[in-house]
Parts: sequence; C-alpha cells; structure tokens
Amino acid sequence: MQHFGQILVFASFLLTAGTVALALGGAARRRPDLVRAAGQATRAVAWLNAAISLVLVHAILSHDFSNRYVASYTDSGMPLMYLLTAFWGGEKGALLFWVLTLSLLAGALARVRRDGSPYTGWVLGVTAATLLFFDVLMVFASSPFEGFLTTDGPPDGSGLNPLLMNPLMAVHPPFQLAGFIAYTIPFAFASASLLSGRNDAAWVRDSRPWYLLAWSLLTAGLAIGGLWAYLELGWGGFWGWDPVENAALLPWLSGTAALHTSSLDMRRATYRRWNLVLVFVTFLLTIFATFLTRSQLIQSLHSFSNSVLTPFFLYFMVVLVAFFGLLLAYRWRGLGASAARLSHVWSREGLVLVNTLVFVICLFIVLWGTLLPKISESSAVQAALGLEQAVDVGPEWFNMVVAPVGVIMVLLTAAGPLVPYRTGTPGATRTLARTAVAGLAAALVVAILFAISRGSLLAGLTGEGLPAAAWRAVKGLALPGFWGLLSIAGAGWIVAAVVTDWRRAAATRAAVTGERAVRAAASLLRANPRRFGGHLAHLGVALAFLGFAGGAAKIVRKDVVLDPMDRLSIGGTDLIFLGTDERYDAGGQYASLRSHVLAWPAGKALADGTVESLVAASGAASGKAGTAPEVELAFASAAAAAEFHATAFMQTAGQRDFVKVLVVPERREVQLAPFAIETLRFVPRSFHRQIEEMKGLAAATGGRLTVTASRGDPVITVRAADDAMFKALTRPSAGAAAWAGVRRVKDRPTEVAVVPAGMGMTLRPEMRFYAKSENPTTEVRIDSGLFTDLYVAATPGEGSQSMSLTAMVNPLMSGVWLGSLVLILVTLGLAVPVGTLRTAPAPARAPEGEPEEGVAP
Amino acid sequence: MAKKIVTVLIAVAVLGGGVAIVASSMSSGVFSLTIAEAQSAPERLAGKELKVTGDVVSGSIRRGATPFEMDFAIADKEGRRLDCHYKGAIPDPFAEGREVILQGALGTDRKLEVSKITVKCPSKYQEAGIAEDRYDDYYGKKYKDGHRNP
Repeated sequence: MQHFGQILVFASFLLTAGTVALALGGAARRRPDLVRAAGQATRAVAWLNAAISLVLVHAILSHDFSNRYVASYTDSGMPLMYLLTAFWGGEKGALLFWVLTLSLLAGALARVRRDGSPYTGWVLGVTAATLLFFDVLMVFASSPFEGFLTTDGPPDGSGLNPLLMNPLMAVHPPFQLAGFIAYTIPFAFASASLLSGRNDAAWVRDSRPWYLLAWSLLTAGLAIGGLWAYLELGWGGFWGWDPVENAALLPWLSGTAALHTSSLDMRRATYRRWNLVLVFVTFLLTIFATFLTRSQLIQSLHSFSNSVLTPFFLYFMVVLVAFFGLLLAYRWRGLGASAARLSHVWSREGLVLVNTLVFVICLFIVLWGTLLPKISESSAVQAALGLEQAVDVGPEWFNMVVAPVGVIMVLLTAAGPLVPYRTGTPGATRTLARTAVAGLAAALVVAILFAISRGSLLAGLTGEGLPAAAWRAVKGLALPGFWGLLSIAGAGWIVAAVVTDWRRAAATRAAVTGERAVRAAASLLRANPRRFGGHLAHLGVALAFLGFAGGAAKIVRKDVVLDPMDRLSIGGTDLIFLGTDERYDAGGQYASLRSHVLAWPAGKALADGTVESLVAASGAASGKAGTAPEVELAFASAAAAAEFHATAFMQTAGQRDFVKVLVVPERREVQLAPFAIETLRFVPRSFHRQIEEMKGLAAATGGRLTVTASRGDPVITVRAADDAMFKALTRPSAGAAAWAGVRRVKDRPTEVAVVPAGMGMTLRPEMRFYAKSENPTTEVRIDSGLFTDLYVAATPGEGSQSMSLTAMVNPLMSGVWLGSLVLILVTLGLAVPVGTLRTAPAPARAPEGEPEEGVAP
Repeated sequence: MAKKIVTVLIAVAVLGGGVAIVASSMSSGVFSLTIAEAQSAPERLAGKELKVTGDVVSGSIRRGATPFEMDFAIADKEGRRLDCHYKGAIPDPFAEGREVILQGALGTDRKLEVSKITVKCPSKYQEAGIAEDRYDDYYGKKYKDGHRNP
C-alpha cells in the first residue's frame, strides 16, 4: 500500500508542475485555452490529493503498522476520533494535510474563476507554484508513506500522548494549519494583480471572501489553542508567549492590519501599497511560523524533533521575498499614481493608518521578544547592546509591553468607526466624547451589577447587609491594573460607539424607508454588511479585551496542602476539601484520583449534621478524627500468604500504594484494585496471573472464599461465605506485618452526595494515570461564571489523605472565549459571498446617513 | 504640511517606542546559559535571573518536606551537572530524563534556586528522543519475541 501511495504522490507532483506551466504560460502568452486547462488541471490535482489522503487514512484506520508514520503516531487501542486526528499529528501527515487543503482551496478557486483571463492565469499559477513547493517536500524529503527497511513493522504502534487526547487539541492543528494555508489565496491574488499590471482594487474585492475565511480560521486556531491551554495545562492562563505561540500570532497581527487597509483600498483607493505589502507579509509570516516551529532555532516548550524540512522553508522564504519584492518595486510608482492622498489626519483614513502602525509595532514587539535569544547570541549584538550573555524575555515582559499597545488598539476600535472619511468634523468630536462617557458609565454600571449579584448571594447566607456583602465579595477579587482598567473602559466605549452608530443609521433608514426601528436596524446588516458586520466584529473585540483585562488582574492564586475538611479561602469563596476517591476507567484506560472540593460561601459554617453527612457521603475518612483506620489482609494459611506475597502484587508503605482495598461489610467482600503510576502498566499483563493466585487461595480455603475478577476491569473481589471467614480475612494476623502498606482508603464505594440545595457547589478535579503514559495528567475543574472563573486543581499531598490544592479566581475569563467566537462567526458570515443582496428600494439621497462626505447626521 | 508634521511625529513616536522596547527587554531579560557556563559563572552573575536547559539526571530527584519543594540535578549532553532546588508546584510531565528549561538564580554555592520549570513536551505524539534513523533498530528491539517489551 505504501508504494501505491508513493506513486500517487509522485503523480500529483507531476500534475501540479504541469498546472504551473499551463497557468503561467497561459497568463504570459494570453492564451485563454491554456489558462482554462490549468483550471481543469488544478481540480484534477485536488481530486488526486484527496485520493492520497484517503490512502493514508485507510492505512491509519486499518492499523497498517508497516507504514512508519502510522506506527509512530497510532496504536491499536486508540479511539476512532484520535486515530483520525493522527492524520495531521506528525510532521509528515501535517505536510500532506497542507497539500490537501491547499489543493482543495485551489480547486474551489478554479471552479469559481473560469474565465481564461491572464489575471486568472496568474492567480492559478502562483497558487499552484506554492502547492508545488510542498509537493516537492513530500516527494523528496518527507513522505508519509515510508515503510521500515528491515522489519515488517512493529505489531503495535507507539500511540498518543494523553495530554493530546483531548477534543480541543484534536481540532486545534487543522484550524491553525488551515488558517495559514488559506492565506495563500489572497497572496496569489495580490501577485496576480501586480503581475498583470493592474492598478485597481479588483484583486482585493476578488480575494475578500478567501481573506475573511483565512482570518477566521486563524483566529479559531489561536482561540482553540488558548482554550486548550486554559483547560488542560493547569497553570490558569491561556497564552504563555511561547515562541511557537508567538509565531502563530505574527500572521494574525499583520492579517488584521491588512483587513482594515484592504477595506479602505476598496472604498477609497488609499493604502494600496500598504495593503499589498501587508498581504504579502502575512503570507510570508505563515511560512515563517512553520519554519520557526519546526526548527530548533528558539528554545520552546513545544519541542518538535529536528526536522529535515527546515532549510527548505528558509529557501522558500528567500525566494518569496525576492519574487514579491522585485515585483512590487517594478510596479511601485504606477501604484502610487492613482491613489488618493491623505488629506486630513483626523479622518477615518488617518486613524486606519495609525491602526496599521500599531499592529506593525505589535508585530515587531512580538518578533523581537521571540527572536531575542537568537539575536543576542551573536557577539556583535552583545557588544552593541552592552550584554555579556544571550538574553531571553519571559511572559512578564511581553505582557508589560503589549498592554499599552493593546489599549491603543481598543481606543482606536472605538473611535475609528465614528470618525468620518476625508475630513473630521466637530460633530464627530462631540460624538466621540459622548460615546466615551457613555461607555465609561456602562462599564461602571456593569461593575456595580456584578458586585450586587455576588453580594446578594453572600448576604442571603450570612445575613449581613447588601452593601457590606457586596463590598466583601468584590474585595476578595484582584483589581486589574491601570491598563486593565483602561481596557475595560475602552471596551465600554466600543459598545457605546457601536450602539450609537447603529441607532443613528437605523433611525435615518427608518425615516427614509418607513420601516420600523428594529426592522431597520436588522436590515442595515444586510444592506451594508461590511460596515455593520464590522461593528459586530468590534463588539467581539470588546468582549475579548474584557477577558484580557481580567487576565491581567493580579490573579488570586493559592497553593495549599489540605487535609479532609480543611478550608481554603479565596476570592470571597471558601473551598472545603472533602476528600478523595479513586476509580478506574476501563474505556479510557486510566486510573483517576478524584478530589471533592466544595465551594462554600465565605465564612459560612457548615450546618450541624451537615458535616457528618457530607463526610459519610464522600466516603473520605476524616483526617481530623485521628489516623485513618487500617485493615490488613490475612489468609487462611501461611503458605497461601507466602505465595500471594511472592507474586509482588502488594508493595509496602513508603512507595505509592499499589493496591487499594475496599471493604464492603454487607457483602462480606474485600475488593482489591490496582492504583499506581509506575505499576499500572503491568496490570494488564500480570493481572490474570493475580487472578489465578487468588483463585488458588480460594481453593485452599475449601471454597469458603470466592474470587471473582474481570480482565476488562481490574478489580479482584474476594467474598467470604460466612462471617467467620470474613473476620479471618480482615483480621490482622501474625503474618500480616508484610502487609503494612495496605490501608483502607474508604469503606463504601459510593459517590459524593450533593450538598443542600442552593448552597455551594462541588468541584471534582482529578489526577489521571494513563496506562500508556509515563506521567500523570492533572484535570482541572473550572466553574465558569459570567464574571469569574473559579479554577481548582488537586495533586496528591504527602499524607495519605491530604491533597495539595491549587485554586485560582480568574475574572472575566469568558470574555476571551465569547469574543473570539463572535469574531470567528461574524467573519465567516461575511466571507460567504452573498451575491445580490436584497435591499430596500434605494432612497433619493444618501441612504444610511453615514457620517461620510462630511454630512452631519 | 499637516502630513509632514504627522509623519515626523509618528516617526519620533515609533523610534522612541522602539528604543523603550529594546531597553526594557534588556533590563528585564533573563540570561540564557549553558550548563558549562553556569558552572563557571563569574560572581557578577550570582543572584541574576538565568535560564538553563538540561536533562533531569536519573536518581537525582529528592522530594522535600512539602509537595511543593524538591531538589534535583540536570545535566547536558556531555554530562556536566548542575544541582537545583525548586519551590513551587511541580509540573505534571516532570520526570527523570526529561529535558527541562529552568529559570532561576545561582546561589553562592553554585546551586540553582529555580523559580520556574518548563518541561519540554516530547515531540508531539512521538516516542521521546528516538531519532528517525534509529527507528528500525529501536522497534526491532522493542518488539522482540513478538510482544512489547517495556
């Protein structure tokens, strides 16, 4: 099967090369037939690459471990969903994914643009040339269809790191990659415009849907990555300014700048050159990001194995810069000739220019911080900057420097859409001031509402007055710093500005068309999607910045070791650690140590009787009442005991408990379950041996003990036929010294009961030990409120019952995710080409009364 | 005229901003050192924030009195060793043999007082540290006798 795949790859490579020749030749020689043929060939290539992908998917699904890629990234036990995600899991698969996605996009492009014009030929040609580059990589350097030379492949694969067996991590790479890949199309359009000598914004209009698609995919990739980090990694943040993260952020920054300049290019024919440069830079940065993540250039948390592709990407970037640079230089003056001049600074155009600069500055900041370790390694740079060693900067520096830049972005986002084109007017200044004040007031109102809502909950429970309770609730939280507060005010301003603009436009439209106000407001979105879609997107920005401000708040965080029934006070809430239980999940193949943490109103005592009932329900032995009761196993005969001991099924105290013993008196049962990191991987192999041993033990007692066990769920149940046997089974005996490490962890295998209704809430963070992994993973639990997230993680403490708890209160976190969602959905919605919009009949004068052309609303 | 003023203003702001950024990155920067450099570090680097990378030495991990404290040592490819002491939550993937990036300050006893540990994830879904050219060898040994050896 490998060979078949290889042949297809080679065929695809040849066909793509042919496409390039056809497209470029047809464009240069003005031969519509060649260009159309190139279009057909592009679609054929798409089909071919789809076939290649199917071959790989088949190899993965059929567990064809003679394929080296399949053997490295999958194993026979993997669930279906993660098998499919293994397609892009490794570098070779990711390369094939890149080729597949790009050719599918190119195929769609060819389907849509079927005129044989040279312009289309250039577009198809540049896209195909990029595709050819990746094909070359696949054919000559890094193919997913390699086999093993000396063996037929291992009988089982290596499987997946469980940290990555998470639905979010499964979808993050394709979105991220697709975002990068999709930027090829706008780049192709830009190149085509330059190559065909055109000097208009047609390429911007044509590429706009593709551009928006690419931007929304990239935003989705970044957001999903951040969400995964927040939920899975256990440090409470979502962006670590790691070099790989930064590399993906760079094209997003230039891409967002290009989004705004292109809008202006279409409308006002300004910033044409900026626009071209930005689109090119965005595409270049996607290649740079891929290069940076695959190379060992910068020390990063995300380490990839040393890739052979690194130098290829470097050469490709050089070629790209040379190509586009020369092209741009050749057409430079022509481009400037017809562009409009910037007449007034305080106009929309001026603000967009400032906005672009801000994004570019942000880009350089991120680039500088990321590359600094490498730059400062050279002694020339060290001499110039007065350093003795190479220097590195951490997240604190990034957060410190990017914060003011971010705030400027927020302020521009609010002010920009309110300012007229070409000339600023006094009216605009008044509007700006009024909306700013309104926004500030709105932010204050929201803050007060928040305090009231949390305070009323407390007040109801503790009986104190509302103001005092509200103050106490808010006091427990951290304040965002200066920039954070400014962000919040700025976000309020954005909302006020959007509402004002929309309201005014709706009022004017209603007056003209006679629609009712609400209907007018809604139809505005259809009538002018770019402007009002932009407003919606800016609302998403406001939400996101609220989240960033919250993240900037000195996060209240505590790391404490707790015994059962201990309390931890954080952010106005008490966390009561109830205890732990353990379970084994056969499907996921992990053992889990689960902590039960009760979030309880601060200062409120647990009601009388509640304490005992909670403890009993949780099944956790109370550390307060003395040491946990211990039970030791004894056997009917010394020989049986010795035999049992010899199987090394038990380990003594001082090491992690291997066995948990659950005693169920009603059924006269003792359950033995394995639970340890180091030894868990031995369970599947040796477990059936343990079963045999225990069965031998049962036989030795003449049947008064019965042993049942199941392979799928490694619990050995030993049941005594009568009370006497049960006593013997659980009574400490002379030979029991060797079993000192066996302890009763709980005596009832039940779930934690829910606490009295309306009070508190139980969070259950886990520690998972996967059979196939070498290290445990911490599963945090987050209670996401509208305003705050309560974040709890627990890892084993030193005592038998204690856990070390990490608790955090993260304010306004949901803003980031909601804001990102809004941005992604709005942009996707705008990307869909609506064709002819159904609008109300065009009225006599300027329709929506926009504050353009200097007309006062 | 307005445009010229604006251009000058913008240029000044950008330059000023650039200088501020570069300067701040120098002052809050953390020096990256190899273990060899850390071992022979001169006195003036004592107490300054450093970044060192290395592999955790097997058998060197000693947990402290609380779960938030431990001693360990890291080594580079040539076997040079650096002793470390860490106070804080221990990251999940931290284990012997893993490659770690440590941030901390050198004490006078040449021991690194670590403030932050970053463990490098083994290459995405792959067996840690197995180079591709050794796959055949590795898998052959691993699956000798028809079943998987640990």
